[in-house]
Amino acid sequence: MYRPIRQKVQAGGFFVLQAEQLKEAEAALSRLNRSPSMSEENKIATEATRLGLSLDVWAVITAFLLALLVRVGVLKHVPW
Amino acid sequence: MATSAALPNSEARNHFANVARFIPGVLLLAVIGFAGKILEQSINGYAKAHHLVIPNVEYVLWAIAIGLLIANTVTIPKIFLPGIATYEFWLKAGIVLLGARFVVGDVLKLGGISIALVVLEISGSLILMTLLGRLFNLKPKLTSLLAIGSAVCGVSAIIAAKGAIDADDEDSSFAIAAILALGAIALVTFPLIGHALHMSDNAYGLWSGLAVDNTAEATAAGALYSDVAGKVAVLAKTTRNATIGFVVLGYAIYWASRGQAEKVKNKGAFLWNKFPKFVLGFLVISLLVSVHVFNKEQVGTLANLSRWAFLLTFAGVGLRTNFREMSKQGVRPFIVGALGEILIAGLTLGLVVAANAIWKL
Repeated sequence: MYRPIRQKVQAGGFFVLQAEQLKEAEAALSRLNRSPSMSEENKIATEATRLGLSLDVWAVITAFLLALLVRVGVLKHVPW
Repeated sequence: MATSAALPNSEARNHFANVARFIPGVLLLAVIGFAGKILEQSINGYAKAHHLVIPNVEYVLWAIAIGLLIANTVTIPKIFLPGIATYEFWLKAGIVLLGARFVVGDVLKLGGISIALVVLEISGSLILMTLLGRLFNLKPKLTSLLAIGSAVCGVSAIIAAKGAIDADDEDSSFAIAAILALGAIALVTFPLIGHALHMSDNAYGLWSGLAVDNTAEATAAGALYSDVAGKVAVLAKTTRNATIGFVVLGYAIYWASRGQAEKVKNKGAFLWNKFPKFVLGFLVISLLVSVHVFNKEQVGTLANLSRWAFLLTFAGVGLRTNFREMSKQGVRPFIVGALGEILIAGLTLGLVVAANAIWKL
């Protein structure tokens, strides 16, 4: 059952793939570092999208939740 | 057993760490914004107590100025960066909640005028920027990004267009730096021009919403003039933002036809994907207020929540404006951007003056 040669090839393939991904990630990171004012914003937008929804949608959901809390009386008065 | 029990715990820890890393930066935004508010109140209180006549400097300007001072004098520790970058999230949440301050009738009236002016502004800006880009021999895709950024909505539009037209990271960095630098200049110049021309709150708000490119800066430029101007600036800017999908789609089709970008397969999905959803959120809240889902006090609370969200945004605008970093991006795109912005500001000012004469804004 145990086939060491095949395993070795798979492991090699895996590491090659990992090295390629690492190279891509490093290139992406260096590109991001060239635009420092935007890198964090990009990262946050990307992370928000990774959760299945865009940053826009999260902002809308948050605002609607706040509006709901105001409507049901949990948030009674917010001074300015 | 031990592994399966440990897994949710570690996942929960990861989620907590993920959220926790935003806290320092958000707290910094809150502290700076609140300091701006306290400064405005203290200076006004002092002037009143001592019978001094000094110009009122709004909390908006204080918050931006403190942020600018920090960003351009010290290196902000990395721990604050994720939280600072959330300023765009607060901006969008603030815009949705701002819907509480508009009844649908206002949205239809001012929004209708905005739509007419936005169509003219976008056409004029795209033509102007394209001509200037060619005149200064900028790379064609950089010219496209600058044109989209100045015609529609600054940084978001450039980011949306970057992928669609397959532009270089370097080009988008250039375009973003130019748009942000010009936005910072607009924060100072627009209120001065508005006051010099004795513009009404509505006319000035419409002008800054049409001419200032980035949504955060357009909101701040409006709020620097007056509360009402800030409100109208957001409405005009939101109308501009709503067109982002159409403009980016047009450019994507153009570059794809030249074999320099991927073809857009599903245009409907593309438009929905690029459409800023906070515009819909703004309209929904405005509609709910118009049909009296919220009572008067609740509307006031929603409006105040929107102001707090904007307070964090204004602090973020200052903190992420780093002139040293912007100057590294080169001078040519900045000159093209500056020339274009001056012409667009003149064009939109003319449009607003004409609209004011026709509709009495």
